[in-house]
Amino acid sequence: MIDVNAIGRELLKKMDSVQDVRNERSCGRIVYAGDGIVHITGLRDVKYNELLEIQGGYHALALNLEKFSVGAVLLSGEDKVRYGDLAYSTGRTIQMRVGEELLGRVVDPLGEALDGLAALTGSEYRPVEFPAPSIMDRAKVNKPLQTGILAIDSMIPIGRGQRELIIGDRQTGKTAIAVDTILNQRGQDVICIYVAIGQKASSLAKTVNILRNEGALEYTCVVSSTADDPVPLQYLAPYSGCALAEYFMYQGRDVLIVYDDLSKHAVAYRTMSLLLKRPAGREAYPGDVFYLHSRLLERAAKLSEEKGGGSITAVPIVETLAGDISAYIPTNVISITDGQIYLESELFNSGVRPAVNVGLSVSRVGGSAQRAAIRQISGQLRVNLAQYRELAIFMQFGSDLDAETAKTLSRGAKMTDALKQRQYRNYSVKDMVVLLAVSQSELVDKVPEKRMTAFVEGLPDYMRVNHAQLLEEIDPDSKLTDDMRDKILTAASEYIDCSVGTAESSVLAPGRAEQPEEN
Amino acid sequence: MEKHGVTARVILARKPDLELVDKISAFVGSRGCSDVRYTIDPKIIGGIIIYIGDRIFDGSVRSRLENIKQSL
Repeated sequence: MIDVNAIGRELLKKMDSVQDVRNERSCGRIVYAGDGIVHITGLRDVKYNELLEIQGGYHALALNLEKFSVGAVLLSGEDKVRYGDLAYSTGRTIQMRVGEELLGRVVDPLGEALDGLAALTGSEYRPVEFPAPSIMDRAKVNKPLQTGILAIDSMIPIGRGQRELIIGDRQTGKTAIAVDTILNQRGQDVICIYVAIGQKASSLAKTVNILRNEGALEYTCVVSSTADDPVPLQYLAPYSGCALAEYFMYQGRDVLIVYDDLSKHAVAYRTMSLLLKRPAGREAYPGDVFYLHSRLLERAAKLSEEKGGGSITAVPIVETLAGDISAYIPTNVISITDGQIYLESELFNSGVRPAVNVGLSVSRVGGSAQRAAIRQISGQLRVNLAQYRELAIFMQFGSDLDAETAKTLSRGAKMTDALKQRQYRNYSVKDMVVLLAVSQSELVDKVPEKRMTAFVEGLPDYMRVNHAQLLEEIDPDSKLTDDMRDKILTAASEYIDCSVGTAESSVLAPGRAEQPEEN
Repeated sequence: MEKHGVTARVILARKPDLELVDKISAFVGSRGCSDVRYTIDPKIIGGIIIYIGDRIFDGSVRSRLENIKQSL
């Protein structure tokens, strides 16, 4: 039975905690409303970035403080506010709801649930704009963030607290890499935040479903602003996501935050700026579009031990047009981040997936955080691949090759094949050690070129089933001994013998299935 | 904004009695207003709202109820 008295007591207790309205406020009147922008006269003591309340329960954000009026962008009620409506100052900036309960949820940039599940009840909030950790509060990036993608973890390693950009044309698998990275954080004690900025609701729904089906949503929060949301919400989304990330970071936890994507964020900000009649600069972006992203990404950090040792790893995504990384936003974000993963549609279409261009991709700080074994065996990888590509281009025109060159070419092609990886097929660190050791040895000469991809895909499973003991012995945090290496190679050659020898009936026989498309 | 000579706008739910009018005049006078205009609006339920220039003093029952509704 429901205890009416208890409910009454509870209500009374809550009533006590309700703060009475600040009864003196400054107010003004709307003298212009259009395109989601309002101009308000009055509001004498309003501050920059202050949240305004508008008659009828709507909200706006004060962005232009001018001599006779205040320019503000509407967060809600775009088509409801009227000329002459009253606007009140609130004395506070925009805040994002934070807390453990947001994990597993899809929320809007103000922290309200969008997924139709139980209402969020927490009362903890953090300001959406917050100063980045100071120099003294930071520590060196020293722990790896495993993406589970061989090409990235071996050559472009990412550390916890790093900012690594994913850049590329549309349909090159940018989001796929980010999602794979989130999936790979299961059991790694990393909280993930996926911020969708101005995305199609259908793409976002797909991403959320993948996260849910793969069991990654339980440690992930999705901050969503889709293309039909008011522009100011799209502008706020990354800052809100970052506020949530900071909440966890200052508790000493590791957070991975994906901003998908910052080009749309810049476009949203450009929309607001042009409507607010701020002067337009290059590509019609306002003057502070660099600061827009630098202040956001600067909030990603690795905190020192005294500050709890938490970290925010930021993975912003930027979409280029026709591979042009010298456009305004790409150059800005490249210069802000600690490295970039450059994806090419040409590679993507020729079947190299993930379509990472190893030559143009770098990680400026992750190397020091790489696991010792991986660092040891992938040291030569980048150079070898570069040599192979150079030779391959040169040899396109030559017909007869000497044996040595043919061998180098075939090894290079196989190495490239070894770095191909299907979506949602993350490798563990030990898998990577095995794959890197084997694919760089002479053993690959025994594998037919056409079967290389299948060989690489089957090897980790074969090792898990038949050489679990050996895998157990691999220690990713110390250098690989020659003895260990020989053992791995022996095991791999067994696999080659039993699969390549009886090719038709083996695991290597079936043709490689096409990778799922990004969208 | 010049406060001198500003007209204060007072919204009440019912007609005020003399004592209340005195109190309002004193309050408004302390804020540099000489003139008061009254509006009766039952929708605020009770209490008082005073506008002086771009300041608003909202002591209405309606806004307090709305506040409670939002907080719960």
